[in-house]
Amino acid sequence: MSDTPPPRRGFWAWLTNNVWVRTATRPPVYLSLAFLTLGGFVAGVAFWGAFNTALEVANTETFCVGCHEMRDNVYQELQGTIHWTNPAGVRATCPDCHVPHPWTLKIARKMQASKEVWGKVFGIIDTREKFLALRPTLAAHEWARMSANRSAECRNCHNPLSMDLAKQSPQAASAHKAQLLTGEKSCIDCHKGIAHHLPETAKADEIEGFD
Amino acid sequence: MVVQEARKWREVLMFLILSVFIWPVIASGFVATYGLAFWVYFILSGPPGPQ
Ligand code: HEC
Ligand code: HEC
Ligand code: HEC
Repeated sequence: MSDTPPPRRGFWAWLTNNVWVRTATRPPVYLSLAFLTLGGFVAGVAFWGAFNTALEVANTETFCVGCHEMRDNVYQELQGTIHWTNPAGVRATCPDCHVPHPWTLKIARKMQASKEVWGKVFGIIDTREKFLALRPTLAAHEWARMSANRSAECRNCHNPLSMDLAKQSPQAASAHKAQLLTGEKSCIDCHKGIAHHLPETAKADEIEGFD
Repeated sequence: MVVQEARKWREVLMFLILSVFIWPVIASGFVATYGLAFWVYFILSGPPGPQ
């Protein structure tokens, strides 16, 4: 490679002759390897920190109920359920139930939210009526997801093996013994509508095992 | 001398542009594409099983 390449035309010529492109793609004269690697190292650490901070901010309830679609509907309904206040003082937040922990699945869920941004921009559920009309679909998505992962998010807090069946109601103990501990079903198969109102089209008595 | 100063300045500036802007944007784009690919995959294959 010589310093004066044969003249070329068009975009490619502009690109390869551009002084900034040349600065970026050639070995530097004034910056040492030690400086460049240290700089890259520091920038990498800063990037990773910023990335994870942003990810954490996007995984808080404050962020989730930042739009009125969530704040005026599901968030209101959560207040008053066992997951809002309970004797143990444990508070389940939106991401505890709705965002998977494994990194790949979490990132995939974050990208899925681009569809929710789209929905926000075009006001897909910007009134209570529109929300209620779409709720059966939305609930079905969460049921299918939780059913497939065997209620992984519930099990982040609840461990079937740690259940003291003797302290549960006889009905609960027998259902858990017969179908949960055998692995036949997972939490969501029986416990729908524990955090928000059920869709109008899926009343409790239509759901198997729901009390 | 003036030419050398200009080159030194360009190298430092290009270093900053690359490290605080270009590479971070590429890295974020890579993660976003990765997540998007899995989302699309899950749409086609159904939601993932237990981890
Ligand atoms: C952040 C942790 C957490 C997550 C996630 C979580 N729970 Fe809970 N859950 C609790 C706590 C704490 C209680 C209250 C326990 C108590 O005091 O008896 C509770 C109570 C319950 C109860 C008892 C209701 C009652 O009236 O006694 C059910 C049923 C339940 N959870 C189901 C689920 C299901 C299904 C999921 C997944 C969609 C889930 N939980 C996710 C923490 C969690
Ligand atoms: C086969 C259906 C079924 C499955 C699967 C199931 N449950 Fe239950 N569960 C019940 C029934 C029925 C009750 C009793 C409901 C009631 O009394 O209101 C109950 C009650 C409970 C209670 C309250 C117990 C008490 O008496 O204080 C908790 C907590 C609970 N379930 C959590 C879970 C969790 C967490 C999972 C998943 C790991 C799960 N259940 C899976 C059917 C099921
Ligand atoms: C204890 C677990 C739990 C918590 C906490 C929780 N959800 Fe849910 N969410 C569910 C389950 C389970 C469903 C599936 C529908 C159902 O069973 O009610 C659901 C459904 C939904 C839906 C679909 C519409 C619907 O009503 O079915 C939305 C939207 C939603 N949740 C948003 C939120 C937001 C926002 C928060 C925080 C304010 C939140 N959820 C907190 C468990 C939870």
